[in-house]
Amino acid sequence: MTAILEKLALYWQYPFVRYALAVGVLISLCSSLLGVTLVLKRFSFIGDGLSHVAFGAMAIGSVLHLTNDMPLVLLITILSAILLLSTGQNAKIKGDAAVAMISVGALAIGYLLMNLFTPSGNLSGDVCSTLFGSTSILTLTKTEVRLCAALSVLVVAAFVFFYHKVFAVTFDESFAAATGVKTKVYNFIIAVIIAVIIVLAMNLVGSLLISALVIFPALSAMRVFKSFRSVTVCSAILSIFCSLLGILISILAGTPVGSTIVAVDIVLFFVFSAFGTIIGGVHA
Amino acid sequence: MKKAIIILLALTMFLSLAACGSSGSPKEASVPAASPSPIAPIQPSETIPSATPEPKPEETAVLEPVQTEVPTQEKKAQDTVDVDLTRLSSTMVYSEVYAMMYEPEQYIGKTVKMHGLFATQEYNGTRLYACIVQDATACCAQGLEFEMAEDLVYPDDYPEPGAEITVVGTFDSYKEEVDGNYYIYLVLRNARMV
Repeated sequence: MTAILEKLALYWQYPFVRYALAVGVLISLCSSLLGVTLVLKRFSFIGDGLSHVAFGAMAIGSVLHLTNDMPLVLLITILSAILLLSTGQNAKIKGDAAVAMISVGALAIGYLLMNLFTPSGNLSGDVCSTLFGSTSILTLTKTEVRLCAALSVLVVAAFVFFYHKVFAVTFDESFAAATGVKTKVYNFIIAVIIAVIIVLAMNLVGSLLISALVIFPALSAMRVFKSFRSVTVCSAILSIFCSLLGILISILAGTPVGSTIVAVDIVLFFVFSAFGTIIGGVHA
Repeated sequence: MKKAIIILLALTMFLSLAACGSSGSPKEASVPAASPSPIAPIQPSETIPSATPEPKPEETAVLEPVQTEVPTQEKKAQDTVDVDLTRLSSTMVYSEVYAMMYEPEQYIGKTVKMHGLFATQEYNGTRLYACIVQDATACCAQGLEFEMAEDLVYPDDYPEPGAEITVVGTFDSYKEEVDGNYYIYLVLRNARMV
């Protein structure tokens, strides 16, 4: 135990470790807040689809040799999120089919572009790092850290400010619309926030594992708590705890960061499921 | 409850942003006394301590050259390792080497000790040697070129490509012009395998 603490003290002196922990906390907080809404609205898979869009956008950024591709990725992902959430029942391609189409389409085009224009000599490494977030969170620049912090503050502020509206739209959209809530506007806001979270979370766990970061804390919290508020708070705490623990384990044991965080999320989900069964909590 | 949520969120964000602080605090500037390491890690984006702590005799013994004819001044410089990558986990090594690539000016002149896979390549009539480190998923790799202090002959005096090596050398960079474009390369000079 002393050896681990000494190792942690040594690693703490590296700026990129401190940046990773700070950004990890912010991203996990943001993703967990909206995670509850997404799970309850049956939108869990949209996060996955948008993360693939973000991968495609990142590939375009690489081909264009952009030093900071985050603004471009953010713009394309937000547009896709709006497109996905605004397609109503009258659309020719509906719901999950639209998500699947955009998801695999963006993934394929992204990989094709990277392959054709070969932005670096290590294509498989670039793709692997983007998909699984092997060490992305530990290689952030100061600018990226600042951008992550600013976007996270915006996301949390938007969630707190629109909390009641998001709550209304999440549980009963038709009732909310009947009572005068502009559901389209709030769905649009939710779409933008989701897109921002996806782009941020790509740094932490990679684009293939983002859904885990969004849904696991929410599902774990639902095993034990009943109200929207308590589930959201518990989900935020769980998500931050899992991210911190995952990052620390990965730097100590030399494991990939993204998959280690998700593994911790899975373990905690089973712990909370068992705990929920014992105390008779709600099973969502 | 709403107040509690806001306070919790504000506290979490404050704590996480506070972790991005600069190296101004004396706590960060000094190596903990209890630490087994006499070697402070280089802080690429922050102030590098001007004086490197003196290593303990039993630990410097590991770095003593076995059969080399390195000049006394070079030998003295190599006895103190500023960036010891062999003590870090694979994830940390990859990240630290990435930082070295990203901000090389912070590391120039520092003695670096690294463990990785030996690689060699003929480039423009010159044989180049490198030590490659991989990340935890083994799909991403970073490498550092090194120039041996001694005049060794390839392949007789070098290990097989892909063999594990530990190299100690002084971090430096050099510029090369190719088709009118200047490229900066990073290298460990006066290197030796330990």
